[in-house]
Amino acid sequence: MFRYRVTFRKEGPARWIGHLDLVRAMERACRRAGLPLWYSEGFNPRPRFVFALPLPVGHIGLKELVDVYLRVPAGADSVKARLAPVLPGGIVVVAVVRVPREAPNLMAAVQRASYVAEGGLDPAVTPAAVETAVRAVLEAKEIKSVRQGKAGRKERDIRPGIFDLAAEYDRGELRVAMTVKAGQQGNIRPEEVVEALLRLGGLPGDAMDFTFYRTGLFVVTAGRLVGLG
Amino acid sequence: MLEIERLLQRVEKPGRYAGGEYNAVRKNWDRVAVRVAFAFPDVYEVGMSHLGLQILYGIVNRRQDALMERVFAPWPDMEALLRTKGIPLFTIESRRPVRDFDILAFTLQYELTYTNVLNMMELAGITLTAAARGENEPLVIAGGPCAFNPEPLAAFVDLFVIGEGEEVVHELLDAYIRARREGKRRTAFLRDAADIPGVYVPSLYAADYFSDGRIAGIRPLLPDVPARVTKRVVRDLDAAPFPTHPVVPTIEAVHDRGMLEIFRGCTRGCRFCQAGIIYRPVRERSLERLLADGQELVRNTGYDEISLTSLSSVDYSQLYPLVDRFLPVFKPERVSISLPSLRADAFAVEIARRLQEVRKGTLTFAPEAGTQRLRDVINKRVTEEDLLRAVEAAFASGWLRVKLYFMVGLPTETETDLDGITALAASVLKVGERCGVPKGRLRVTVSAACFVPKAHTPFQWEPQADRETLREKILYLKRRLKDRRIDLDWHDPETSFLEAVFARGDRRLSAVLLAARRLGCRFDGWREHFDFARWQQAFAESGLDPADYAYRRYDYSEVLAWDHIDTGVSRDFLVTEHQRAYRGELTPDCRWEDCLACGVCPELGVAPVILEVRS
Repeated sequence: MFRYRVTFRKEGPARWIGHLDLVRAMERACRRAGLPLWYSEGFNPRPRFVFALPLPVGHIGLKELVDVYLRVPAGADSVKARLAPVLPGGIVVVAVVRVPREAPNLMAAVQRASYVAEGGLDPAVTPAAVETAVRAVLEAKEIKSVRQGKAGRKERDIRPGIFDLAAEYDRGELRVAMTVKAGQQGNIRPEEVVEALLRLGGLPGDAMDFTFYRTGLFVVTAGRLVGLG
Repeated sequence: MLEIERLLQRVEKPGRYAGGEYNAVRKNWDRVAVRVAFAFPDVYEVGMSHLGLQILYGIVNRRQDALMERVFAPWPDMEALLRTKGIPLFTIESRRPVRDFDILAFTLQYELTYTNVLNMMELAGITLTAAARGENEPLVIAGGPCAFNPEPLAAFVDLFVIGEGEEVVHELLDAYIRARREGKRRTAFLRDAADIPGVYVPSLYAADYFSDGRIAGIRPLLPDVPARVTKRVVRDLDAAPFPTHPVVPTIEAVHDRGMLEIFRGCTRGCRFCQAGIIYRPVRERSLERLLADGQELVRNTGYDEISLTSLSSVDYSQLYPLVDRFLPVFKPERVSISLPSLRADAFAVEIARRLQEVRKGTLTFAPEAGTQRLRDVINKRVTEEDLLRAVEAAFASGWLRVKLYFMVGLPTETETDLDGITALAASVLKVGERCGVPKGRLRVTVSAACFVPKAHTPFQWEPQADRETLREKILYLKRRLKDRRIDLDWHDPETSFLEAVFARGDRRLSAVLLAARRLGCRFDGWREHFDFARWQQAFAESGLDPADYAYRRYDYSEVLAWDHIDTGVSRDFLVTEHQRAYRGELTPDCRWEDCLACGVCPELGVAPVILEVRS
């Protein structure tokens, strides 16, 4: 089994496909590329694709990651060259690197994600008001966020999961950059942070109207963020 | 564009409208002479499972001078947004308003999509009634199986294409481009188009009625317009283009696999079946062509499953050799082969067994009726013995679930025939037990559709059983199928009633469609959106009784609303078949026995193409 880490963008029309559809699209693209996919044993052999972290439908991913497993080795450049032309619109390969087979599981490794959210505010809102809002979030002891899950409404505190938050604001155009907790446990969604920012800052607007970009996925090593991919 | 992105943010499945699919074609708008929007009047996942779309998309986009883009019926969440934001219906590829296209081409696969046809036109901002449509609005055309009775949509559609589209689409586009160049008005173009074989221009015909509402006649309004329009048929399917680069949907389609059409047409002769008449004669594609196309399809799509499609794939005369040659090529690539439905016999199961190493799914058979007597009436030449042997082979090879398709309300049906359905289901269970299917896993699904008399079939004159009767029949089955290992699915009698009305409807129904659309009917084929009360109101407002269309026995002497559409099959053949049905006489299949003189070959100048005649 040979393991390749594919860094890709998910943008344009591909922004609107869900995670399961993305998995299927990636598998089909690899088959079109003629990559020698590794298959599991058993009655229903499946290829193995491990994505770092599902990207919610509608978000744009600038540095998404998937580990692809092949049964015979190939040059990382050749994998990239074969895959690039056969991807659906909006999925763009950025880089392919070979990773050791025993490297930690990609999905389990992810601890932080960085996002940028862009949206419009009422131009009457002042830069000072935006600064105050950012401070309000950072200084809050606790930020309750309600999420509508399949099992009903769930309330939790998202404040401990917000590590970094900054805003740029110019005449109604707001750009929020953040680093938040990510992964299989305690994952923070950037909409929740933007909602909190608007709510705590008393700013008019709806997080639904923002465009979200995931700009990076990270592990924490000795207290420092190290980018994956 | 930005506005559309905002809409996508707010709908349940934005992937339905996002585009960007692999093999989708984006062409330069300004470099072509004609732009066609192919409209599938149902949701994306259904439309993307349709082979006809992929065939025409490939053909038109291969032309230098034309482009085709796709549009599907927007789901009600998207529709509501389009209406409130005042954004006109747009195509997937370029997100241009449908109204900007030269031609809007609908495919009519099911009568219950007609309100979606109107709704899509309205959302596009196109005048619904053809006669009132402006010169700068798109030409609205339609094809597909339901176009074989085009009359209910005659008021809205400029022209219908009757029959197979592969060749006529070129003639039509050429004529359109020529008329454009010559600066012809729409009416002049339509007059020219009526000379193309297979093209029906409803505005060039008038319907007359007797005082009791029956049709007196449908006649051309101009002297040299043909009195009957004959369907188009592709003589040599091997020479016809086949979509080996189909658009690969990015969200999961209903049939999410590659489609390889192995033959067209079916002459098994089931007397209720419209497809069996309108796609005649049988034309098999050659082994070589299928092998080449199949491999190309896999290479170009990345699908891990290829479905060998046709109206009854097990009847392909070279199925064994085909499978034998596909398996060694596909197996290392982990591509599986599937068949859409199975003939009820052991050969079919043997084929299925070879195709599926993992027997995970359900095997489906269609005995259609519960007793031999009724199966003889409908010419379903399957015996109970055949079926039980097939089921036995299925259970013995590891399948745990079997699905049986039946129809209720067939002509001459009695309670005995319904008892036959329950008896057959019980026998299947018994076979499963005998074959040692693990307790608790054995399952039989009985699916009961309501009989709908369809135009151009031997049963076209038959009344449909009324809704109450159909409901009682279904309840009767429900009461009798008490074994917990048997599930019963059924089709809604009210939906089937409307299907019957439009399947045999005439031009007057256009008023009903307009009223129904105005009352908010759409997605009528979807249980969650179907509202029968609205339909009843629409009929009442239009002063038409739907029962007149669905429940009446039509007389042989009557003019039928579709008599001016010619399938090539003679009326005499249909009458004979209808009468043989009542005598319970079986009619053989001309693939394996003598010609039955249905008329299609001499009438259309074609012949069946069968690779190997069974001895």
